Amino acid sequence: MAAPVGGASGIDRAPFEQFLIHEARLLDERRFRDWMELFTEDGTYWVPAVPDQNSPFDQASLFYDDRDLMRTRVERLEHPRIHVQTPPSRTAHLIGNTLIEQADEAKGEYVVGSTVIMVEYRDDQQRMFAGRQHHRLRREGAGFRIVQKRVDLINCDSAFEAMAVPI
Amino acid sequence: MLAEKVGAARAAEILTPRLHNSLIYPNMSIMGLNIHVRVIKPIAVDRTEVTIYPIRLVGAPDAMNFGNVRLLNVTHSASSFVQTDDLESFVRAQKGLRSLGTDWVDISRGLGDEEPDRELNATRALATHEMVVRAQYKAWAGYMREAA
Repeated sequence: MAAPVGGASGIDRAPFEQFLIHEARLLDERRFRDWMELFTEDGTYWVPAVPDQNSPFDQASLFYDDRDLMRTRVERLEHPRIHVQTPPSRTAHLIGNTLIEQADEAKGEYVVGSTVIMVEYRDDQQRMFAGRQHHRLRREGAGFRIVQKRVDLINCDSAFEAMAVPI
Repeated sequence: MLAEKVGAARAAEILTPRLHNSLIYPNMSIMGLNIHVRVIKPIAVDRTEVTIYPIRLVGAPDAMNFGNVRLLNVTHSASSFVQTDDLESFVRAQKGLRSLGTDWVDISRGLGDEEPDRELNATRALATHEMVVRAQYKAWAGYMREAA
């Protein structure tokens, strides 16, 4: 018998993968407002600044946005004179190794883990971000909404040049 | 609570914001508005590493300490709304400094356009003018002359 690979069994992974691909595409197409709309009203976007960070409340994070901050971030990204996006970043996200790590079918809530790689090109420089991400998703109608997106970058505790666009 | 402890007059005095920035030449600045520590470490002529730490106030409510962390994320994290544009400006300044066109860093923007602010007994200029930079170097030179 094969060793257990982890994750919830008996749930079709395809709709979850499709959702993650859709989310990544919105970011790559700079449709930041549509990306924000994927989040629930109490949704959060979190990129910790240290490995295994327990909480966004008692230490700094690379990103920790609730919807209010997300809205400000999106308005800034849409502003024609935002210095750090003149010229704008071009990004390519790749999502893989998707696993449904927790599932509560009765409540329609899921935790989906995946590996993300984002290559960013801007102003003649290309750099790469990579890590494991976790989406806490809530089923809504035929699709999902994001309750929390957490991205744990493998170099999260490194020094960074400006990070203008979400991972 | 504060009034019970120190009296109404002193409590009012404590709660009235009197924010100002202090400069300790050549390289330390204490800014009344900020509740974090920023360490600026020169690595090379065109490379500087900035590390920033929020201050946790002992005995303060969790919400207040989270407020400090949240403000830091917004103003000074790598993805912040403020620092990112600052960093872009520094990158552009460094590009300019690579030029061999002049031996001097020009800080003359707005020179002669300053206005007296009688109410504050100070001098006023547009925020994008370099009056503040000129004033700081002038003060530094003055303090060094006094000390000599």
